[in-house]
Amino acid sequence: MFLPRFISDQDINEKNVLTSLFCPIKAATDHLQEEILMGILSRLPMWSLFRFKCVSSIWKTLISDSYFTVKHLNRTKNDQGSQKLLITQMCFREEIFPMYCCPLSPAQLVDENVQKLKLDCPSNPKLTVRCKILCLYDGLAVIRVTDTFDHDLSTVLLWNPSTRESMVLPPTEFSDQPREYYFGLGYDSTSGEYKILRIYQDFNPFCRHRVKLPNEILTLTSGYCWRRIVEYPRHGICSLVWAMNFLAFIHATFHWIDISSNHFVVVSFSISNEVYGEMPLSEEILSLLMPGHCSIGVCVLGGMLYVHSSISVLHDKTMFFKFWVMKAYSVEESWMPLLTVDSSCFVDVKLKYMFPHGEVLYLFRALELSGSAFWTRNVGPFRLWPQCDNTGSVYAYTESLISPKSLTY
Amino acid sequence: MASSSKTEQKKMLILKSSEEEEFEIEESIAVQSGTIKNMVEDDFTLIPLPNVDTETLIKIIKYMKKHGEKTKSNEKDIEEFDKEFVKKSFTELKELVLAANYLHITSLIDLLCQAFADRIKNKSVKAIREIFGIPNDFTPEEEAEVYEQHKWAHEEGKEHIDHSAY
Repeated sequence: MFLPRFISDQDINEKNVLTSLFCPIKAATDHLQEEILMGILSRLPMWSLFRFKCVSSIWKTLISDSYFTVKHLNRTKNDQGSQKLLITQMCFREEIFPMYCCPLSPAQLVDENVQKLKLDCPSNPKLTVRCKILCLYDGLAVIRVTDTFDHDLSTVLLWNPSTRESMVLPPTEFSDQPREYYFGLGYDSTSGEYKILRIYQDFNPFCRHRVKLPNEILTLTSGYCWRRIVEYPRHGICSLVWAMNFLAFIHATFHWIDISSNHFVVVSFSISNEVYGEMPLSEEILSLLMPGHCSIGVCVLGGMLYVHSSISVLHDKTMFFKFWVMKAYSVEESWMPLLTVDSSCFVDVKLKYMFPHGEVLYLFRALELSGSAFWTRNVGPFRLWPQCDNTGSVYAYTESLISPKSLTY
Repeated sequence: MASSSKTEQKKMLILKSSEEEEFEIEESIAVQSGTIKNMVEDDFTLIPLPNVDTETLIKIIKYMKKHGEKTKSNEKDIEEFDKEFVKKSFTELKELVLAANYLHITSLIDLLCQAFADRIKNKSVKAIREIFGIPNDFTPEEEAEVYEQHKWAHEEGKEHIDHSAY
């Protein structure tokens, strides 16, 4: 059972849970009170924390404590040094699909020798598998692991790339066809639980006889299973497979793009009371983006909602990439244009991260799979990732200690 | 913060260390300590600090004096001071953080915790036990189990591990 978040440092003094575990009092210099120790431990990088579990049983208990996990996460969320990039690569020729994590900081992105840590896909290491990241939040990832040789064999897991711990999610009674669902992961502070939402997206707008499968939500608590939720009332047929990453989670609400009366809207779904809503896009956005002529999605950066889109100009064979940010949440007039990229050599441009000073990091994918590069408005390109058939996906995440297994304990 | 009137008397307090040595300090600077602030509100002017020895008290007073003159323009200066301030042995740092905690000087506690974290993050497990005076209370089997749980952390980056206890 997850403790409530946002407990202030002052509250630690009132928490006596750990005092009974302490050794008899030694000399003052040798016995650092638990709150000081927590203050030091919460500032340590993950790698040090895992090693220091071996120091003594008290340190092990402290580091494994769920209260400490929350305190640690509250600190890492605001610490640039704890932000990482998770990268999947697809080397079709060699039939390997490695995954890496590397630090995310402006200085280190420029460094040719930035340390990339190879991550093992959490599954039987003897199998050749590919990992697809379905969504990420608070350092937890929902991933699909598919057998390279038998694409029908796949498992969906909850995985923490920082602790390397994973847990298989329960199957659903409805179709598990990989491509037809979009996932979102968020935290419901009302109930103190993490929840995974999966939204069905019809990929073939021309097949009208296709059965629509329900949307479902999974609460990560003991005795958990997928629960069907109410349909979004005005669901249109929307085939935007290339646009979306995963459901954007902000202000305790999931967001995605759907079509209503032949124009785009941002659909919202609140995590605690499970109510649908709609957020309008601005006139400018609607005049430029028409269903059928572009791809579009929403994502969250630096606490704000962004729209990313790509518009192809057919006669020209060029593409425009346009981005907007919603400066004030749910205020239609606050959609501001961010950037337009006009290029014939990029096949995809996405928003990946916002640095503390407000600089947005973009990921550009070049034609003919020749690589990807990071840019910001002022500096770029940062890096071209190592040559491989294709960089599958790149996501920014925060290091956290949250244990997938403990959520459903 | 500077007084404009020359005749105005700044209220002074006396801080007394565990070794009974007394130090005079301006009240406006001393109240950076939450503990001292509470005692001042209860009308104390002589503040006994039985948990803080003389050497540590001198350092703390130095810190509070420097941070007492914090303005918008001398931020860099204060940063430099803080950097130098934490260049001390682990024993001294431990005394300081215990005293800062007792005195409720939040900024100093944060500074010291960060200094500790920065200094110990690459240390080996054995070095940590030495620095903090912690006995290993695991049985060999228990320790092996905890090691296995996060084996990758122990194996990766082995070359960065620092075994010294200083």
